This record gives sequence, structure tokens and C-alpha cells, in this order.
Amino acid sequence: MKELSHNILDIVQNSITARASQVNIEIAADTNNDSLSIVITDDGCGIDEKTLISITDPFTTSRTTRKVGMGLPLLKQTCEDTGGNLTITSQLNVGTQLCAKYVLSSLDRLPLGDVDETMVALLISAPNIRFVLGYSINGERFCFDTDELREQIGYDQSYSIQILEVVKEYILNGINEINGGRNKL
Amino acid sequence: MKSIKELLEIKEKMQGSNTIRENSEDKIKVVIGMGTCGIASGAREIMRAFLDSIALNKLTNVVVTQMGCKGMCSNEPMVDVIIPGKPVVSYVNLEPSAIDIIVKQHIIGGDIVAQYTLR
Repeated sequence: MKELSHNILDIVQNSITARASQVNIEIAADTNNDSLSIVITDDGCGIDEKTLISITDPFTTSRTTRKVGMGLPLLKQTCEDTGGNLTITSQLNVGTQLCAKYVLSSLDRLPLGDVDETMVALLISAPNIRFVLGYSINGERFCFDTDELREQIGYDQSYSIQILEVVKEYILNGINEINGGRNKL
Repeated sequence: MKSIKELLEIKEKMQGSNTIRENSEDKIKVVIGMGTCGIASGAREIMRAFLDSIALNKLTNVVVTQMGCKGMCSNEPMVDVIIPGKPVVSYVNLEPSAIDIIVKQHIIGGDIVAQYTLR
């Protein structure tokens, strides 16, 4: 994966498979603590304790088409390369929370990349899920919530390409505003 | 942050776009592989290329969706093009530059682009 937003797209696929109805993606940078965190919370089916222990082992997977699952091991590596870490907590039938922590200024930290494109891909992947994206730097926060969008366009249709373009633009503008004059995360 | 204003604009833009939710049964489906392998090899960029090409060519009878890993990871990015009543065509090892050709030749023209198919 070339950017952390690719990892986010990949990891949220797990939430979709877990039949989540809501997924929160919270990206927060703190320049004072030199930290970047990506927290993904879903209300999917959860992971049992036994599986959770070996969840970042590439040979743990729930899929049946092959015997390896690289998503979480790859994400863990992106964290640990910077001196950060990955923690996952989960409760069966309640949901799962994943917290990826990075050292913000580490040379080994991958760029965040196009979060807007990842959100567009997620809306295509799972139009029925409510996604909430939070993006903040030093406490100043931008939020995109598909429920706000649904209030305008209705709840029972998939997203048209025109709507996806508006979503992309909206998220791009929001993120740029939070970034201010800073370099992209 | 101009959220409500922005969201209202969505509605306006929508009025120009009809046929959002017809029966998707009779639409052409573009199904993109979004497993870890697909994403790592550029599936999101392939999806973008399809969205751009579909918009550019003003196609209203095409829906873009996703699938998981099919177990042929070395062939990613993979895309299935499903035209109702015809066999599924799997395209493999795609790059964004191939997408416009597939849209024009296969989705609009009906001719399979042999050089990118799974064989």
C-alpha cells in the first residue's frame, strides 16, 4: 500500500464483511505530541477472543478463498515502522475498534494520501452503511457524515456519480481547511 | 464550514442526473476487486478511472460496485464487466489508462478488449 488511506479502505472492508451498519473513521494529528492516530469503530459482529489474539498474524483469516489475510499485518507494519502501534479491541455482537498510532514526523510514516478517494470507494462498496469521517489537527475538526447527505438525497438509493463527485469535493475542501497552510498529512 | 449549503448543492446537481435508481437488473455492472490484494495494486485508482470515464461519456446505464478477493491476487487489479444476458468478462492486471478503452470499446461498443482479459 502506498498511502495510509489505502490501508483505511482495506481495513473498513472488514467492517463491511462484519455487517456493520455504522463505521466511524477518525483521523487525528497532534503536532505537539508528534502523533497521528487513525481510529476505526464499527458496530459489526465483532471478533471472538481467541481470534483476536492472533488477528495480526498473516495466517489468520476468516476468508475461504485462500489461507492468508494481509490487511491487518500490513497496517500493523505501517504503524510499527514509525515507532507507533496498532491495538484492536472487540466484543462479539457489539463491534470492533481499531486504533493505529503513528509518530507523525517519522520518515517511515506513509503519507495519508487521498482520504476523499477512499471515502468515495467506501460509499460505492457499501451504500447502506452510515459512514462518519472525522479529520482533525490539534483539535480543529472537520466531519463528514453520510446521514447528513442522506437527509438531503433520501435513504433508499445508491449514490450516483454526480453525488460522489460532490462528496469528494466536500471532503477535499474540509480537509484543506483544517490543513490550513500546513503540508498534507 | 459550509456544510448545509454544500449539501443543498447536491440536490441541485442531482436534478440534472436522472435514472439514479432504476432496476439495476438491466444495467451494465462494473465490479471492482477490492480485497487487500486489489487495493494494494491500485483498485481505488481503477475505480476512479471508471467513474471519470462513465461521467465523461455520459453513461447512465452503468453501475460500479465491488467484490472481494477471488483468490487470483497476482492478476489484480481485476474488474468484471457484466452486460445483462452476456457472459461475465474478467479484465486483469489493469492500469488506469486501459479503462477508457474498455468503456468505449466494450461497455459502449459491445466488443471485448481481448488484450486485458483473463486467459
